[in-house]
Amino acid sequence: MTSATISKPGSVRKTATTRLKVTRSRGGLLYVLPFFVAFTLFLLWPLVYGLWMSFTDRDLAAGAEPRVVGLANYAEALTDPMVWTTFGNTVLFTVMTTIPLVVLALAAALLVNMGLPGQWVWRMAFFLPYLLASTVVSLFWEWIYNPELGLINAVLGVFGIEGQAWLQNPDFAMAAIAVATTWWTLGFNFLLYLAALQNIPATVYEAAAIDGAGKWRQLFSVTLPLLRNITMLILVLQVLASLKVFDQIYQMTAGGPDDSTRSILMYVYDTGFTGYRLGYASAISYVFFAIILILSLLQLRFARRSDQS
Amino acid sequence: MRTSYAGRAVAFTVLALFSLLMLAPFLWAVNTSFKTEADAGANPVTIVPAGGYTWDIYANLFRLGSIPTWMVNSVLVAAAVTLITLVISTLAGYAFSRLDFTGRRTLLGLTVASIMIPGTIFIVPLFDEMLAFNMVDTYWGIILPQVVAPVMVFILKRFFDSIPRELEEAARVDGAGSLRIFLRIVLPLSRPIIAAVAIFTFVGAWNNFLWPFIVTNDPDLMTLPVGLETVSTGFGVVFAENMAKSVLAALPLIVVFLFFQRQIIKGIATTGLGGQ
Amino acid sequence: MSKSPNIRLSRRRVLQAAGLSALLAGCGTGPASRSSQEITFWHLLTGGDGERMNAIVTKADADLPDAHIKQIVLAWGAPYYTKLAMSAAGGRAPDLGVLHMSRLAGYAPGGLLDPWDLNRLARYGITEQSFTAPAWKSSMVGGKTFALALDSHTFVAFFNTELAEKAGLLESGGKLPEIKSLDDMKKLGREFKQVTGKPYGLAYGFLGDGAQLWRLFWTFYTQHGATFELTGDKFGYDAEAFEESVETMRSLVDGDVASKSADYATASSSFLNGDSGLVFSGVWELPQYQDAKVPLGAMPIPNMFGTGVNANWGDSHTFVLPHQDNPDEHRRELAYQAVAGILKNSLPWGHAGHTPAYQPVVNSAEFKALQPNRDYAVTATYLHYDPPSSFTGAASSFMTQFGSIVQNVLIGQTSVKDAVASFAERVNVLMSKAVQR
Repeated sequence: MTSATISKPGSVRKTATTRLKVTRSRGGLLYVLPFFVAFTLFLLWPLVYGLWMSFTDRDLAAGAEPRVVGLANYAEALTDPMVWTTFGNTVLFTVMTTIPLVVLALAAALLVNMGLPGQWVWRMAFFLPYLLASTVVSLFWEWIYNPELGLINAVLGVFGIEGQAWLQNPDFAMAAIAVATTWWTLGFNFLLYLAALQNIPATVYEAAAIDGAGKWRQLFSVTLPLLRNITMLILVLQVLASLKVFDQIYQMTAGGPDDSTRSILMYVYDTGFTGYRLGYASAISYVFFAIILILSLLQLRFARRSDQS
Repeated sequence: MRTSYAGRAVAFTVLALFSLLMLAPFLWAVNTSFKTEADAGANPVTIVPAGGYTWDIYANLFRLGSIPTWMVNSVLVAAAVTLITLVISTLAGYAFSRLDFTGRRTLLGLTVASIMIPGTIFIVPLFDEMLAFNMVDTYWGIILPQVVAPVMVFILKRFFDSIPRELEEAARVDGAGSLRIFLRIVLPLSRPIIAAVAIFTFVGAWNNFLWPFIVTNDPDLMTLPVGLETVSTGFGVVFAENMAKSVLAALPLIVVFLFFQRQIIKGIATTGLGGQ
Repeated sequence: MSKSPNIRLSRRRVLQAAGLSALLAGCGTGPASRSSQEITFWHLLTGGDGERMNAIVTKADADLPDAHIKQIVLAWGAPYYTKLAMSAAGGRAPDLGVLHMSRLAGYAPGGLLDPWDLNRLARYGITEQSFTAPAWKSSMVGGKTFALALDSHTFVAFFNTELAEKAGLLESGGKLPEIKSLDDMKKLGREFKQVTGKPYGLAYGFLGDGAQLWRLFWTFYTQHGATFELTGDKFGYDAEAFEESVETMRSLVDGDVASKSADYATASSSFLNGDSGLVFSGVWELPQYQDAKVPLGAMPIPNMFGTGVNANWGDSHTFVLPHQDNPDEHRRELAYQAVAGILKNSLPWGHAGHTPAYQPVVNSAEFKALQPNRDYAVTATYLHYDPPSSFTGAASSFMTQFGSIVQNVLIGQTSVKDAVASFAERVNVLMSKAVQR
């Protein structure tokens, strides 16, 4: 039925992009079926089921049928200081990691893109940590941060600076985790930036050079503006990933000291699995989900407005 | 336009220092892992251990530890997740790119919208669902929830969109069906993006912690990251042992990276993974 | 609240109706796939503890007819307890598990544990008389026996006798001079320091470790004859005793006698290496010190408050039956048999530092000859378990919260008074947030 439409050779391009954009096929649903079965079971259904759970007092330990408690869980969540503390911690972590993960990744990509000798080594050095599991990252850094026997305090000691209990002091713990996280995931953004830099045609720089722009000038008036899109993308991916932080915090500090590093996802885990209150934990998930949705919508509107201007 | 010699020298120094900082945690871990526990715990900290370097800790880990079991589990799980994700995502991406069917717009909209849903925040209902399905503590329970990757479907669809339709027309004239076109024409042309999707799915599944951690209680089923965190072999002083375990857990992917470095970097560069 | 399998099934059916249940049910392997000749035994005993437990289990295993005990060892602390609860909630729990006595109140009432059948136990020779009265009493919830004590373990002081001798501290019978006040204790620490020439005389690891902070605190606090009240509407406590206990902890870790920033492993390591002469630690560290050939003496943590009360933090490892929806009767019988075998063979548990709970073992000549166990064995008779509630006990959130707040005092971030007030506030929140049953 589709082949018949290509009657005039001259119109192939046009039909290919308009009328032939998609092929009518009754089999189409079959192609998407496997994905949507998995999608429904493991993404959509937990979302729907979680919503129902959030209105009940479902208890991990008690086998009895959960009772519907209406909005009680939501009322509790909105007034639970720990929800707001952990949400604040999560935002703090997001800010503390997103900025260095953009700035340092960009700096590293710009330096490597200069074509200095040793390309293989540089790429390896920046990308290797990204290949590690969170558990390994945590073990590495717990050892480095060890107050008495760790590398950092030993190095500081050489310069006569008194070390700190980095992961055990509420003033430093979140920053210490942010440093470890930056080290861990820098490589991915670095590669995205490097790829974007290599996609900039040399002719653009040549044109700028003819106009008399120096190296620094080229960086600010040519390179950085061209990286705007990739930076927006990295920012969005980064914020979404950081808001979900769990692994390295659970492993390095378990939310301590004094809840200064407890993230919202950890609080969901603690409430549901350690405190048995699955219903309440689901309600916290939904409050968090609502906040992320609102942030995403705001960000979309903001992006749209700045596109128009 | 070349930068001055001095400028390049400064850049080189900065880059070298930056790289050294990035590599330092590895080097320190490897160094510690070859010490005895007593030397690892020596205060003040020394670089070269007083008692000399030793292989003992590694030998013990291989003799007693569960590390080989977890490594096999990690390979199994990561390979299955990658394979299933690739199959279902390429099929769906192809259908969204080339076929029209009832509900196409709705389903595509759902897929794109769900990219923004951080699935991990629904671990509590997902776990409860797994309890009901009797899938807690099974390989399928670890694998299946990880194969849903709307972002990969979207990336693949975008790539398929960019393949010129003209290539398929000849086949269509010959009477090839959509499945044949998919297998014979579209897939072979998509090798780079498929490689990129496969690599990132594999790395993601290999390193995934939260879900496998929640759904496995039996140490024989645990993957490396979960086993290392959950099962402990020592009780007191295990500084060197922890580093040896970490180094062993890190090694497989690092070796893979050293072999496929070019492909991985090119995969990102040519396909703009993430929809650049 | 009782647990009805029918109700559970109905929830399951609702869930399964949601989609492709047949496919998924095929993916999950049911409990039936477990061999009926193998029972799984979960515990959190590692290192020296783990080795001794392994020896005991191997012995008990040999007495089981054609059956095998498979040990699964998880990391100590919150991960173990969360995993145990999650597996029991799934109804496919291990056949046998270890639980701290202090966690019993959080597990038994919710239906995560199945009770022990006393008649069945009696057939294997385990009765009320096999245990001390306090251990037996603590293991009952709502009139049913949910836990069988394996041991009791306390927080004590170990010292290096060789260093003590060098410092001229050793008295007859290998004992240290009696300590009656905080000043005596600090003096002792400084004397060890002079002999070793190392930074600290006393090793106490607490950094990032709520359990260690709690153990020493509860020892000091109960030495005041005080306790915590967690059952009413508001948290009840003795503010004066609380403050004095925390203040004492702070002045011990002054950066002179003991490190201000030692974690568990760092402190152990410094005592093992002979850098510190004295360590506050759990009795379970005994085998590690003995394996490292540290010349070892031990004593209860002295009462430095002049109250004359003998008291000590303590806990017990117990055996429990994690809840199973459809227990295999044969495997359950094996679990009874296995526990009886382990209790009767628990003498090596004394080598691991613990005081066994099984009375025939404790009263045996072999146990009484163990050194230096006999110098602290008395602590088992006056130990204080954690205040019982659904949120307290080993590695609980209560302990974590306590740890983070009190640690702030020890590293000089908050005052004692503020810490006590903020802890009381937290406990009130915990009491209000605790699951209601």
